[in-house]
Amino acid sequence: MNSTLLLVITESGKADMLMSIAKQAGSTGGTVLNARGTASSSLLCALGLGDSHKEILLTLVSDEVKDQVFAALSHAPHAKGLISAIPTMLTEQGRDATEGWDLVNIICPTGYGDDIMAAARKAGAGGGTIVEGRGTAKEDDIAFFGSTLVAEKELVLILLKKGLADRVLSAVSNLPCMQQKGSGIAFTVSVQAFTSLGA
Amino acid sequence: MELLKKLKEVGSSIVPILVLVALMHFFWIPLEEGMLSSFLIGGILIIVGLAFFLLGTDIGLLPIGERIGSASVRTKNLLVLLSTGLIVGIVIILAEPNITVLQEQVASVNPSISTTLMVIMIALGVGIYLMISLLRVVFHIPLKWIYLGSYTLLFLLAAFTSQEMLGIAFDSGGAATGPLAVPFIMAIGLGVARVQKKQEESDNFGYVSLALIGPTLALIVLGLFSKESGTTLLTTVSTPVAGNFLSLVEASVSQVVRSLIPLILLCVVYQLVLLKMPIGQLIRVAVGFVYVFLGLTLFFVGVNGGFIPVGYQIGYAIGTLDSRLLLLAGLVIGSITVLSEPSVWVLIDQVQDITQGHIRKSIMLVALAIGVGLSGFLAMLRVITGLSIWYFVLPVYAIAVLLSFRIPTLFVGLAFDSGSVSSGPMASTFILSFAIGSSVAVGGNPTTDAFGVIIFVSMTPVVIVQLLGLLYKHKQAKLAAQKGRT
Repeated sequence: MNSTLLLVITESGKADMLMSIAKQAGSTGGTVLNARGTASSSLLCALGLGDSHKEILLTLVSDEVKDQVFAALSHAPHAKGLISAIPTMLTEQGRDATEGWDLVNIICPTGYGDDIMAAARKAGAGGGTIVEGRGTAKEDDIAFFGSTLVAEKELVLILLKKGLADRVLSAVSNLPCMQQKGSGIAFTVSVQAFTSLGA
Repeated sequence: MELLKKLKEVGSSIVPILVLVALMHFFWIPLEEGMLSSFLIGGILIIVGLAFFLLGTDIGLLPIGERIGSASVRTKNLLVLLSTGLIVGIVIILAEPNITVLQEQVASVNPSISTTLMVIMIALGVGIYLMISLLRVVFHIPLKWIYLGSYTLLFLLAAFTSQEMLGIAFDSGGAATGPLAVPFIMAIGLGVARVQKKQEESDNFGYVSLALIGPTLALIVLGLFSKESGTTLLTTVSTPVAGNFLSLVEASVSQVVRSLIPLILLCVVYQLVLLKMPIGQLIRVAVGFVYVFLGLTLFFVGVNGGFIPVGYQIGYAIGTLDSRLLLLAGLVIGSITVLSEPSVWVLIDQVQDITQGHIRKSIMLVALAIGVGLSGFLAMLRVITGLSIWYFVLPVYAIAVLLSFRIPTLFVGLAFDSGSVSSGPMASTFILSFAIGSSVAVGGNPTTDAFGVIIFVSMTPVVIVQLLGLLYKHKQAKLAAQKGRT
C-alpha cells in the first residue's frame, strides 16, 4: 500500500490543533518540528522584521485516506500556512509532470540559511522556512573529552512552481559561501498536491 | 509579525503595573502633580524598549553568542574554550549597564571603596565562574555539587569578611546578571551544548546562576583583605525627580553606547578569527545590535524618568500611612514587577524551547511572580524590623542547596538561573527605590535596610521553581505508576 507524506507549515502553536483535525480525518499520528519562517521581502528580512516562528507538521497517511485528510486540513479554521502532499513512491505521473510544484530542500551549516534565502529570492522564490537540525555522525567523528561533537545544520524548505526550482538551485549553489567542499547538499522533491491554508 | 507579537507580550506584562499605580493614585494615595503622566509615559517607553531589545537579542545577541560557544568547542582545544569563557566573562561585565549603576550607587554611599578595583574583581569573578561552568559541561559534573561547594565556601568566607563589603557583594551578583550579560552568557552555553552529541537538557542551564556566585565570592575575598574603613555611611538619599525624559536621553545613549562597544569589539574579533560567518548573517547580527541599542536606551529613559521616582514616592507614602501595609505592598509590587524584567522573558522563552513546550511560559511566570512576591514581603519585613540580612539569606540558600539533591537535574540549573534573571534592571530600579522610599518613611537606615533587596529578589524564585520541579517529579511518577497498572 502506498503512502503520502503530508507536510504542513503553519504558525507557531497551531500544529497540535491541525494534528487533531488530521487524526479525525484518518491520520494515525505525526511529528511537529519548530521552524523559522523568512520574509518574502528582502528589506524586511534585512531589518530582521520578517521572521516568524513556525511549526511544521509531518504526517504519513495511506493513500486511501490521503485526500480526506488533505481536504480536512485545507479547510481547518484559524490556521494560516501551506500544505503539500509528497508521494513516497515515484509514480510516472509525478516524474513527468511539467505543471505543479516542487519542494526544494537545502541542507547547510547553521547560519547560512539567510544567505541562501536571499539568493533564492533573487532567483524568484517567495518565502522559505528554516528548520534547525544536526548532522549525524560520520565515521571520522571528532571527540572532545568523551563527548562526540556533531555538526549543526539548517534545513531550508522552499516551495516553488515547477521550472523555478532549477534556477533557484543554481543560484544557491553559486553562492560564495557554498563554494567550499562539504558546504551542504540540495535536492528537489516533486509535490503531488499543494494548497494555501487560511488564504 | 515578530515585533508586534513582542509588543503585545511585553505590553501585557507591563500594563498591570501601570493600572495598579493609576488605581492607587485615584483611590488611595494621590501622587504629586504630573507624576502619574510621567509614570505612564515611562511605562510606554519601557514597553517599546523591551520589545526592540527582545527582537535584537533574538536576531543579534543570541545567534552570535551561540556561534562563539560552538566554534570554541569545535576547535577541540580546551585552552581555547576556557579562555573564551574568561574573556567573555570579563568583557560582558565591562559592558553590563547594571554594573555601571551599581558602581555609582556604591560610590555615593561609601566613597572609601575603590570602585575600579571592585569592577575588576567582579569581572574576574564572572570570567572564572564562566570557565567553571564550561568545565562542568565538558566533564559532566552535576551542578548541585558546584552549588554546594560554592555556597559553602561563600558563607564560610562571608563570616570573616568586612561587614560593609557583604551587602555590596551580595548585590553585585544580582547586578552582574543584568540585561546584556544574561542573554549572552546563556547563548554561549547553548552553543556549547548544541555541538555535543549527547545533549542533556540540564546542560543548558546553570551558567547564569554561576555567574551570580562569581562576583559575590570575588568581592567577599576582596573584603577579607580590606580593613574596616570606619567611615560613617551616608544615610541621606536624594529624592529622585520625575519627568525630564529629554534630558535623560543623552545620558542613556552614552551609557548604552559605552556598554555595547566592548561587546561589539569582542564579536568582531571572534568573527575575524574563529566564526567567519557569511555576509547575510553578519548583517542580521548587526541589525540585532542596533535594536538592542535602541531598546536599552528607551528602557533606561523610561525607568529613570518614570519608574524610579514613582517607586520612591509610593514607598514613602505607604510607609508614612501605616508600616504594616508595606508588607502587602511589597508582595503585590514584587510579584508584578518580575513580569517586566527583560531577562526573565529571554529565560522563559528558552525554557519553553529547550523542554519542547513541557514547561510552558505561563507556569514559569506564575512561579516567578509568587517567588518575587515573597521576596517583596520579606524585604519589607526587613525594612520595618531592621533584622540582619543573615537571618534571611542563610536559611533560604541552605534550603535551596538541599532541595537541589531531591529534584530532577534539569530543574536544578533552571531554578538557580530563574533566581538570577529575576533581579534585573527592574529590581534594581523600581523595587529598590520603593524600598528606599519606604525605609526613609519608617525612619530606618536605607543603606543597611533597603539595600540587599536585590539578593532577596534573586533567592526566593530559586526555591519556588525547585518546588515546581518536585511537583513535576511527583506528577511524572504518578503517570508512570498509572501506565504500569494498565
